[in-house]
Amino acid sequence: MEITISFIIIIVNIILAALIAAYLKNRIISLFEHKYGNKNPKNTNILKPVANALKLLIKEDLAPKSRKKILYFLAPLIVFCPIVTAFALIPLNSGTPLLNIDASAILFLALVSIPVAGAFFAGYSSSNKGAFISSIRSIILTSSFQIPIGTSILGVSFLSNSLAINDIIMTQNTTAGLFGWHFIPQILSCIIFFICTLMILNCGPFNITEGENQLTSSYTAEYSGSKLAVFHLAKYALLFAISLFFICLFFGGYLSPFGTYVLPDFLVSFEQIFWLILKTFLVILSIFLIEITLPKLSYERVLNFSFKILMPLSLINLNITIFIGYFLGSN
Amino acid sequence: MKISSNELFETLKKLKKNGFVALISLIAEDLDPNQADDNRFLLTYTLYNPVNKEFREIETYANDELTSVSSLYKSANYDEREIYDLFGIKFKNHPNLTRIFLPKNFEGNPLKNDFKINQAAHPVIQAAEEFSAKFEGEIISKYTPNLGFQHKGLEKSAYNKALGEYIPYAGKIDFLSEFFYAEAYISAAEGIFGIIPLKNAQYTRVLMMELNRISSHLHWLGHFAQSLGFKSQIYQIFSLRNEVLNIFEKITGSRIACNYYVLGGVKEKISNEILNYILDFTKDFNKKLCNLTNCLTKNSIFTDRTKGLGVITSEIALPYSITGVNLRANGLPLDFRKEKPYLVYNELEFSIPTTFEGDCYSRYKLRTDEINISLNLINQCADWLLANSNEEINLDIDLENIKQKEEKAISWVESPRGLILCYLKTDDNGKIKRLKWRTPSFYAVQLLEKIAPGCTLADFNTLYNSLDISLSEADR
Amino acid sequence: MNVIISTIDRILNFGKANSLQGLLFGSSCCSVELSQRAFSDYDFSSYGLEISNVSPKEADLLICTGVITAKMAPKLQKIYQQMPEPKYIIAFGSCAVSGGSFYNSYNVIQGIDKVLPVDIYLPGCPPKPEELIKAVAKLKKGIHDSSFLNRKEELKRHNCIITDSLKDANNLQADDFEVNK
Repeated sequence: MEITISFIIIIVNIILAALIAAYLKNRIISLFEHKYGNKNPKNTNILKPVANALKLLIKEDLAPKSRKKILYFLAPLIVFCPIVTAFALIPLNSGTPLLNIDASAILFLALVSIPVAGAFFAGYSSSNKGAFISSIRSIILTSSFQIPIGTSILGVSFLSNSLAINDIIMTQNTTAGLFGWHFIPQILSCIIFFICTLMILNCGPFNITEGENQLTSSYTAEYSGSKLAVFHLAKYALLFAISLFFICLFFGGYLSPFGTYVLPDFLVSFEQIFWLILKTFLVILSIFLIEITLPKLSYERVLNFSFKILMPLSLINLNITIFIGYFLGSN
Repeated sequence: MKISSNELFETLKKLKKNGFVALISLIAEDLDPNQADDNRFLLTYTLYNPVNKEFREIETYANDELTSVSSLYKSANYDEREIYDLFGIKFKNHPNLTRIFLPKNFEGNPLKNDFKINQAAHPVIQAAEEFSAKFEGEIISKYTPNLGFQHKGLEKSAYNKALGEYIPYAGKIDFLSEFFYAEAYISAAEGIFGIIPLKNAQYTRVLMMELNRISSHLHWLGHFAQSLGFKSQIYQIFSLRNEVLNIFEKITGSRIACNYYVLGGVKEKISNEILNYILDFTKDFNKKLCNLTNCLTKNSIFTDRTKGLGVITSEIALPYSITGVNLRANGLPLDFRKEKPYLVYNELEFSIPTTFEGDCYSRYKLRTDEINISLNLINQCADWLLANSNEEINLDIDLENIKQKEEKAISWVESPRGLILCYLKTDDNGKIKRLKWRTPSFYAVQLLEKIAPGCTLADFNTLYNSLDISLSEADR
Repeated sequence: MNVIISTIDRILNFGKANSLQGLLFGSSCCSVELSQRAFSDYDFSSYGLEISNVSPKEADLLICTGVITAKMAPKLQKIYQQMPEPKYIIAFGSCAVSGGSFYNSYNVIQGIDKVLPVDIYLPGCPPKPEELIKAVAKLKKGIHDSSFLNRKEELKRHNCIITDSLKDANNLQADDFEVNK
């Protein structure tokens, strides 16, 4: 009973956060696009994402006649549901998270990789060649980020002797504040992890699933109505989930950069949530900035990059961490 | 040189061995529908020799059938399909003789002089295929383009019109380079009447054409960057292009359908204020453009994706009759502003840049260099116009009593995409009998059919955009 | 009962009218002018109209610009049929409204309304962008005045043929296009 209520609360929060993120993305992108806004904007500007969502739900549900019916129906669910579960693994304040599991970092990674199967089913079941090509390319992206991201998580877990997210945050809780977080000793891991988040999200230079074939869009080409709304929501949910994971591993999660908390004792949990949200928005801002400035790679160059450059770098990083840890005497 | 249709193939074969490698244009004309013998249609072949820079014209008569020369000159493939579509002449030994512009179940051949347009009936609609490509994995193995989606019939609408009536239509052929088409038509019409415009008007025309060249290249640059994934540069490039269109609006009153040229000159003189505004504009323009192109040129993803892609050598380009930047990218400096100078180009100083690799990156570089050369030309023209601003601009022409000096005229203009040729023939009363446009994008589409196989789907978009094809121009 | 329907209408029409996603169709002078203006000067998205690269399944406003020839008309119908309801059409430019300057051509269709049900006609060669904003405002007013129960009757008022399947669209003949059939 408690778990269903908490999952419902998670979904409502995701929807709110997605609306705010859509509005922010519009404003940031229009800064770069040289646009002159009008001087008396009415409320429709702020409520525009709400109107978008409402319209998507009203739309008719057209589907091609020669589709594969079961996979077509399941694809949006496979894309959305694991991410909701992944949100439950992240601690919001110094209590325990909703699901307290020993190896939660690896479980998070596994949950974030399941939506790719949904994307493949979406492209395969629509009888549309462009959508099929796009879904195959999303599988290429998945196979490129798994090894580097796994080894960078392992590098972090050596510093904290455990794979649970809660313990990783606890080991960053020193009096040095900002300088005790993991991004300083593991700077190479941090950079590799950030590049892999771009791959997971199909953003920036790794945006190979959509836009190349100019007339057909991505693997969601044959979806309309509420199923398309679920795909869009899943994209924003994934954005939030990955950036939360990123700051929990490297930037201290809900810890304050000063080392101590400003507010008195009974309000500390609010302050921790405040720091969490602030750091998340900074990471999301940098992802949007990269998306708007860099051009796209083509798929063979993405594979080249990940297997010839990223993977050796991440393995070297892991080896250096092990050697330094051994010689400094920790286990 | 007039020869009979039996000797056509042998003569062209001999000429090809002597060095006439390119067939620039193939023009067909309906002489008289009432003639019963073999002289109903007149065909004109124009050949070019890049070594001695020599042109030669060959004419034949035909009635219903003719041998095809597409085995000698590759660009004749599409030309002969167009003649089969619009005139009904059949060509023997042609690899693929089907209609190119009109739908497959269209009845009749529109450019024959006894074809009446039935205004009450609507054209019959039938399902059409898109341009299709066959793939193996992600690599294209065969590509067939499908033209005719923008075929407005602009050559037929000139039939039986007075010479001055057709001027607004000339600008509608290609919306991006309309001053060039207007200039080609007006020069041909002035050649028929024997009029030479005054120096003032000639400098004004060159100024407008070079401004149009800048706006066309900027439009291309925006779409090229967008096809590679730069999401925000297109907005800034289009803001620059907006400034050029604002200059057009100051001079002529409208941004795109300008109609600024008249027989013997231009409609209005450009005032000194606007000339000073243009000179100020060209000073800052170079810096702003460099900011944008550095963003592309110094990006290693961009250079990696465009270098080595879609190489066009002159052995491929000349038989397909490619002109313009696509040909100059491989080292052959053929620019018709210097080959056959028209207006005042022989008095202005400018150079012709070339590169040697012939891939997408060098075409991009050449077009940005051409923008700088156009800025230079604009400065020279504006300085001359400011110095001689007190002279007359238009000739006094008595349009009702003017007599024709010649029967036909051809004009050559170098547009941003290649060579435009306008062939104009009138009858005794001054009405147009035949008007034919040779447009450069028509041949670029045919070249795409040859070089597309072998590249992946992701690179095809870049290749298509780097050739600067305008489908409205290819279909007329 | 009427109160319930009108409140539902108010909410639904708010959603439909304020998030119009436009699909630009056509590649002729008017479309170049429209995309030029949309990219540089005028911020159409603050008036509720977004123009970007979308597929027909996500769009609900078809802005049809430029000259339509006989070869292009089946494509236009296919794209229109792939858009989910509710959908609207604006005929932009005088060539789309009634053939424009190509009145005596053998290949140009004299106006889109011979093949599609058009909601708003916008003449001009090319129309100014302020006129497009006014047209969108009129369309929004029309959306606010309509109800979700009356959609089928609205479609019957147009004088053209709306086919139920793609097979019928491919078999249209010339005598199907009589007015007031």
